[in-house]
Amino acid sequence: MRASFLRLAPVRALGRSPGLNALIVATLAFGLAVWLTTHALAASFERDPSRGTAGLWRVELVRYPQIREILAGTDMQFVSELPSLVLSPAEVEDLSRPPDPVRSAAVTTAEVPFEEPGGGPRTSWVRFAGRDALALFSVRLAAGRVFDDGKRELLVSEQGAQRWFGGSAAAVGRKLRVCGEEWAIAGVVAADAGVGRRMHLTDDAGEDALWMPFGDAVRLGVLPFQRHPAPRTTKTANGDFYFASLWVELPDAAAVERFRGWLARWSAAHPGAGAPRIRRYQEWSGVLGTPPAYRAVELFGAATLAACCLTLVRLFHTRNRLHERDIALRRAVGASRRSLLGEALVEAGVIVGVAALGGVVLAAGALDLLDLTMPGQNDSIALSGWSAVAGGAIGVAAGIVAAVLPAWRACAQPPARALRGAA
Amino acid sequence: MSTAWLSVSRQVLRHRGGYRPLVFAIGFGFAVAVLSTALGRRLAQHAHEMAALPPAATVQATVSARGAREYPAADDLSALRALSGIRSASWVEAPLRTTWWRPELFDGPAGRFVGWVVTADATAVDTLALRIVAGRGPMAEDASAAVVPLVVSRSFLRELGPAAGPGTRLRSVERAQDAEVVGIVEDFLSHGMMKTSRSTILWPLQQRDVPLRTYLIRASDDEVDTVVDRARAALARPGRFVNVEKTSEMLLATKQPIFRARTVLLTLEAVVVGTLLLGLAAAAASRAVERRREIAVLRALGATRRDVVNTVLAESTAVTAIGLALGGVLVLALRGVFSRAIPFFTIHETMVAGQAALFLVTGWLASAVPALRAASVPPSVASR
Repeated sequence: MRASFLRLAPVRALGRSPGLNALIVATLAFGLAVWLTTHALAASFERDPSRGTAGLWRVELVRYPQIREILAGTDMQFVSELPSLVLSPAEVEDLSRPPDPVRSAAVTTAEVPFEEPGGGPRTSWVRFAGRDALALFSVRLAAGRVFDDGKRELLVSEQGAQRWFGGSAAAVGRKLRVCGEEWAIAGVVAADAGVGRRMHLTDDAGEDALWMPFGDAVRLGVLPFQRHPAPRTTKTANGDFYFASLWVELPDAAAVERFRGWLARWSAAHPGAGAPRIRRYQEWSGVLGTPPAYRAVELFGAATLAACCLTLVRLFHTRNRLHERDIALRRAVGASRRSLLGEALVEAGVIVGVAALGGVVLAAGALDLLDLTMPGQNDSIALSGWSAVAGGAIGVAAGIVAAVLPAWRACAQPPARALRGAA
Repeated sequence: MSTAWLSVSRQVLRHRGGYRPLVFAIGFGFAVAVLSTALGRRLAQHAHEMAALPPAATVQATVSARGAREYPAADDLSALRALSGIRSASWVEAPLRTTWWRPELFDGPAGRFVGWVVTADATAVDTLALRIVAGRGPMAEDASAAVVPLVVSRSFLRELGPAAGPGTRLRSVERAQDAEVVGIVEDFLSHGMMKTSRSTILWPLQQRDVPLRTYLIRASDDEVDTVVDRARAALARPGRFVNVEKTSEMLLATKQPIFRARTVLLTLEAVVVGTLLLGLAAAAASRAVERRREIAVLRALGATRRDVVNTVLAESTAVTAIGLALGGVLVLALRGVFSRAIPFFTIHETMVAGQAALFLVTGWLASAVPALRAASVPPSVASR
């Protein structure tokens, strides 16, 4: 009985300075929540299943450099790179047919009218892609197969298949009405297949989009042709700012060199079309080069947690000062330094445990809120179970570390001196 | 008060009392808060500029061009123009909000420059309520002319040189098409600080087969709500996608991402203030505990509780003020960097003063409870 009562001493001690304990809990919970939120946010932005893809290159034509010069230092400089990334449908057609056969995929996105099964007419984002795009970007199908060009076949997302037909298998072979035409569902793109935010520059389509053959983007008139003097096409197009990206698979250095050589010859034959260049997928998607801006937010979160940990050290120190007389008395009646330190750590463990739990709950709430309010993200922002556990453990560890030094110093003080100077 | 100020200032400068990290944190936090406020303000301005739309076009309709059958644009426009309350309706190639994504290059007599193109049918001058100051307005046959007739804004005309006017020839570099100025209108679409953004032209719309069409509608302000309903009813067909909205609501929706970015900045600022609140509270609590005996001695010598509260608050004020001074230096150092990276980025004195006041109040709030606790220390503690 007595033994268990003594073992509970550290827990009972928690009630002695409730204000300070609440401040400790608030500090750690706050720091942990900020860090976990920014970390999960950055992880969501960074999620890219294609980042390891080797041999995938983006074809670009660098042109109209004057736009960049004229708009430099203005609000609009952020759009000045766009013209160098815009390919016309005819350029896509030309550039995807080098003399050495390569796998290539043109990609674009557009919003088109769509009659939702069981619902009214609405618009839907469509990812228009070449047939090979799914293989090049390792996009997995949950059911069915990739569409065939020219057969009015499309792919739907797993969410769409579930919502409209009760499941992926049931969706295959069913019909949808898009742009006033009837389309057969050839396959279902797996949920969270990471359709690749970075397949295209302005990819507003999320996971829940339709997939249609790239050739139909031109036929339906969603790609503009007017602004591309060389080479021109007479295909109809609307005026919204949809354009194509072109990806080619170049498996080795020799293939890259051959493709570069052919691009140079193509450029010489098409004066005014711009200087061609190819960029590796990793360079395009930001895996290589300058760290993306969201890393600064994550760094800010880590700095907040570090600042909170420094505050925790001070708070634990203050707490120990308040309990100095108790510690000294217990040392005077024979308690060892190790046992006192152990008890202090148990106390700290209980406090930081509560704080870590609070921090994880706060972060989950903040991320839910962000998920509801953040526009245009393709992946859901959420705190995974693994992140919650790891974050909680880091919070507890950080709290314990913050508690150790003050506890060690408090236990190291001679009892007589501590009793004299106790607060 | 002044004694406490001096005492704390001396301690901070001598790296004593554990104030130094707190002072640096306040300085850093203050700089972050001021810069994020300035950035948020610039974002709000930018949102306003990017969503610019001539106020006359009060309603925008987006419709599918085909469904169970074809829906010719001429039928839609006739139906809209026949509705009461509608002064004019036009077909534009793309929603106006997308205009800023498409800088285009032009070659004129005075050299190469950037302009912004609104591709619209011949009635756009009426729908956008543009005032023609020279030449003529657009005509239906302009769309098929070999040399494209253009109605340009005054700012666009200035880019063509001092002698430019109706009849001046130019070339669209990207479209590889020759064009000629046929009319001049007052500047439209943009305002604010967007360099080149007033250089706007109306490009004749070629009627094309597209999945979605956008119509702009001009209606009286007091009839906008009813016009939205009437237009929706006039365009609706079974199975057809029809979305009619007030342009003010559309603009608000366009601005949302930027406003949300500003909210993120405000959240960061709140995090900074929250962190400092906790840090200052911890420091004040710590100091109050460490000085328990000193405070008791002061109380035994006749200091009132108010004196003790004032002393603790004065310390907090001194620490915050020194941190703010440090932060001010940091802001001054970073201002140039931010101004170079972000066009029209400015830091106003009111922002700095506001943030400084916020930090001081935060410091006082954080120290209030420890100060009151310190004031409750009985004089008898001094004799233990």
